[in-house]
Amino acid sequence: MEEDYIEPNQPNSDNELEDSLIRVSGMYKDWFLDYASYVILERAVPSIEDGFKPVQRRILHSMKDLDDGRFNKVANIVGHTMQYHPHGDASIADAMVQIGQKDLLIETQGNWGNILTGDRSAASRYIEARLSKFALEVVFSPKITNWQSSYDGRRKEPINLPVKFPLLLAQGGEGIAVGLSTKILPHNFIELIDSSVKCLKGQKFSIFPDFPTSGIMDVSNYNDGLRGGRIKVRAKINQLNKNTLVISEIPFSTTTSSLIDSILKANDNGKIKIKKIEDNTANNVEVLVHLPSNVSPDKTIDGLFAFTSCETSISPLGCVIEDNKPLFIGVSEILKRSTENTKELLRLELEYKKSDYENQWHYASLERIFIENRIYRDIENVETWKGVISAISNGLKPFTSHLKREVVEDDIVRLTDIKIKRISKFDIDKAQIKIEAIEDELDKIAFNLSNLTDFAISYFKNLKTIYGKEKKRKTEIRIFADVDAKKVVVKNCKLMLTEKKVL
Amino acid sequence: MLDENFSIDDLLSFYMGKNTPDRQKFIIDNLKVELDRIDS
Repeated sequence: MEEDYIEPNQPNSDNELEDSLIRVSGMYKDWFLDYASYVILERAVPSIEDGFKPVQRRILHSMKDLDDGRFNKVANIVGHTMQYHPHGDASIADAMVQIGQKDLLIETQGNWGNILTGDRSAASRYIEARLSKFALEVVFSPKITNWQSSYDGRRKEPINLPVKFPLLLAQGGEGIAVGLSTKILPHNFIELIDSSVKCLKGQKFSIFPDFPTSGIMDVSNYNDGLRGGRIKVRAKINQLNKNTLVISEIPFSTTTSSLIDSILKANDNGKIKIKKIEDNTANNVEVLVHLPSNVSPDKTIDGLFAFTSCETSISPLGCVIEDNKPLFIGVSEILKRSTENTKELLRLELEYKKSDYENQWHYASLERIFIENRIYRDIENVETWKGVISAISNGLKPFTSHLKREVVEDDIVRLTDIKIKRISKFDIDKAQIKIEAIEDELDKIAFNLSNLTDFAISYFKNLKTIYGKEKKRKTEIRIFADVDAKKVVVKNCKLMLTEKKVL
Repeated sequence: MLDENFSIDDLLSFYMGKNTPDRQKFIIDNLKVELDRIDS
């Protein structure tokens, strides 16, 4: 920063003025960095810990705030989200619709648009949402969440959500910031879990994208999703009869309407020849391409790949925020870190449960001692509060050698709150059963903590059994033969040879 | 009030011009972080 301030070649008496003087270039640097940092950290790039951009994290956090098991109007959730995200309601609603369309974290009701045709969702006042069971299980865990205060200091919001799943890779993410951008493609749910399990076992794995629009792709140059990688995705085109082609799957990043536009454009440019095109897409893609009778369907298919977005190439560029810094990273590394993070979160949850059960055990044991040995009688003649505390403390002493921590004043205060009804109905056997049940739980937790890797593996396998049923791979992986554009272009100009020259 | 070794042209083309690896590095190295942690 020094070079931005005026060098001390001015009169020394003006020390303060010197410090406050910043050259225009320095101001420019500050403004630029403020803006760039803001866009990178607060807007466009997802974090590696939970895979969310701030707007997505805030939407999920708000949905958890509002969650009562019933559907909420999206407009209402958006309004709630604005307590954390002081920006346009339309952009929050758009971000939410995109999460909803990925069909993993949000259960939707109403018209949420169509990713195949590109139709937009209904306005946010007409549609409803609630968190999916998967989201509730995987995304939230308030006790182990780190919090920050919201932009106006009124509320607290998570710095990162404790997501126990490679969510970023499952959903993909895209963003253009300042000076850098990111594009992480979506991957297959089941394959991600399998890979996480392999990763925990220390085995090798490789993952490839899988798109909700299906299609066929060539991943020979995926390059692990790093900058410079490139994949090709094709529509699935079949010949219905000798004059009709049917497109039944489209490439990722296209919609049937953009695809048809590109086909019509190629037709106008004379690259391919078609008679008519028809879009019957609703739940499934069905675009019919009618051909003139003298055109070869096979050649037209090749032409569609060569000249229209029936073949689209996509360049991934893995960039995430880690520790408030952008990091360029490949998908296998993202998966590894996410898996490690999941394991760590599971450990923290176990530790939390452990301390909770230990407290319960401690108190249940104290209560039993207190009632079983009728220590409450010791306070009958004591007049001061201090006296009560010390009387109970002394009364407990002979029996507390087996407890795992010191008896503190708070414990004793709690004992004084026990209702007489509870003392008169106290059943030693029941109390003993309760204490033993807690001990069983503690044993289980201790076992899981010392076998954390196995615990994490069975956690992932469990996710797969419960939520993986309808998540089979959609996009077929294949190696494409290159289409030679010169060979498949429709012959649309004639060369004539006369005796003297070529016309 | 401009820095002597920075002309207006240089300044504008660096901050407003095309993205360069240099600029990307400059941003990443000088990122400003605001975080208002709450200890629970």
